[in-house]
Amino acid sequence: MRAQGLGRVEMASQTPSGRAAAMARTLFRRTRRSWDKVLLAVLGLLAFLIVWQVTSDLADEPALPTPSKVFEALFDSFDESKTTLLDPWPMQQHVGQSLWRILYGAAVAIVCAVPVGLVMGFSRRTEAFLIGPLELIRPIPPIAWLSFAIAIFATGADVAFIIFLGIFFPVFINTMDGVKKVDRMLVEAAQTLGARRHQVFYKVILPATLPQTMTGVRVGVGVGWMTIVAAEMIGVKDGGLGWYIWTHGQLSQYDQMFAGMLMLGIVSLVISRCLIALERWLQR
Amino acid sequence: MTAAQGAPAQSPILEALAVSKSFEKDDRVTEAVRDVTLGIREGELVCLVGPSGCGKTTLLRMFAGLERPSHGDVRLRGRTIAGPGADRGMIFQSFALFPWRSARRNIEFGLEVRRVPKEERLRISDRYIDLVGLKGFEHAHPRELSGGMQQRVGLARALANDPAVMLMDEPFGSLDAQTRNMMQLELLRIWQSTRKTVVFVTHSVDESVFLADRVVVLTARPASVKSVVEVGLPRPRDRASAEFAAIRHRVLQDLTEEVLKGMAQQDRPGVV
Repeated sequence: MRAQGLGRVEMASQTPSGRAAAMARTLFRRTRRSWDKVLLAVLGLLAFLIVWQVTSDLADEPALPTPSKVFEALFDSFDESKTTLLDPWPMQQHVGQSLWRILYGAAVAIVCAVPVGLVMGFSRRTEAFLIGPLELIRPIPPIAWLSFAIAIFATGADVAFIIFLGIFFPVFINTMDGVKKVDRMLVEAAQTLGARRHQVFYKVILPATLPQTMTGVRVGVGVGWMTIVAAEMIGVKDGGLGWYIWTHGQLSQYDQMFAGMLMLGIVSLVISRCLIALERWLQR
Repeated sequence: MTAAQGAPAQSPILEALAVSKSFEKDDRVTEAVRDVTLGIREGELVCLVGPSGCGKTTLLRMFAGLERPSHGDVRLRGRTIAGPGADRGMIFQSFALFPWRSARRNIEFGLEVRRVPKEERLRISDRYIDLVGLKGFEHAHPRELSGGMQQRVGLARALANDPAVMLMDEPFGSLDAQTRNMMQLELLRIWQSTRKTVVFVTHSVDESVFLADRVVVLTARPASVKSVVEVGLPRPRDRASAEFAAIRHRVLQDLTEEVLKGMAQQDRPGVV
């Protein structure tokens, strides 16, 4: 009588052999599907390289180097013995510099934006009070603050401040929205189970809001990369991927310039994957 | 068969004394509950039935402490209920499980917030996992479970606190008919083994007569007590029996009157 209601999960596991077969079936299906995807992704990349190669061959234009030249420049850029006076740093140092700035800015932004978002999501009065200035500052592109940042902050902190602006707003907006969308029923369930105010906050509001906060972080870090490259191009002198791309472009070293762009794509792809993994781990 | 309204012989564990509740919104006052006096005896299973939107859920929420009465008093063991608390377990129609927690960690929530040590939590959650028939699904998350299984988690979660009363708000309302019938049997089995006091809100007459010691029929909004029907049939009850049908008919008659009244009301939306 009871088995009837045990639902979906139970169906597959009624007998040991049935369970094994069902598991094999899902596993096989999942593997095949993911192999299809990998294969298509590889084909897509290949097609991209071919289009690139053909276009640069046809154009015969130094500003559009062939993929092989760019990859060669990318490999060489990691070699410390091949650096020049104009760019004394190997690639890993530039990447490290940009990454450090992003992490620094992101850490400060998250530490500030999450509490502000939580409080504003909770309290209509606080929201009404703070929303004006925040909405006024939000549409200003972070890069517009660059001269201010360079004048006020020490080297290193200046770019981090720009990154901070880029990440703060998406994290804050998403957190605030996340708090507002928390299911009232979950709060009531917690209360009827004996949770006090602070327990409702830590054990219901926070975990329920987390996915949206993480979305904010992911969007913010994306904005952060755009911002950092612009900042390193315009005003900041001590290295970083943006500086690398800009300087080599100015020197008409297009192979290196594209190598820098490619590196930027790879690094931000890896970071975004890591954030997705972190999000999954936090939501276990 | 009708007991004197809200006046049980033995002193009640849970009672509503001349309780009224109005909601105010945009200068419009909606009266949800009017002058309800009701006593529920320890160990009793009482069903509240009434037309949809009549205010039966509001009444239950006042017992839970999630709403405060506008007038009158709700009491548990003679003491005024001031807010939600672990001594009254609530079961929600939408289950209201924490989606980021496994079945076991949902069940342990109440123990966790009362700082019960880990080994003790494990022992208690094991007991209720067994009792509600969730063995083997401890690690599943709510989204991986069917509706019936999710409500088992909801039941175990409330029971793990060992509350004095269980307040159930149309707990099987979103389940399909077969699962629903089975969950009714499960509830009776659990009720008989724990001897909890249960207040069960439903709009199904059949469900109320199948489960309850007493069925309280509420009027169309604002809800007040229309009649109290003592079921008095031995369990397990036979839905096909003549006695069952007779009681079912009585409850249905009272309810239908109120449903019709409620429909007439809808022409002039529930504003007083």
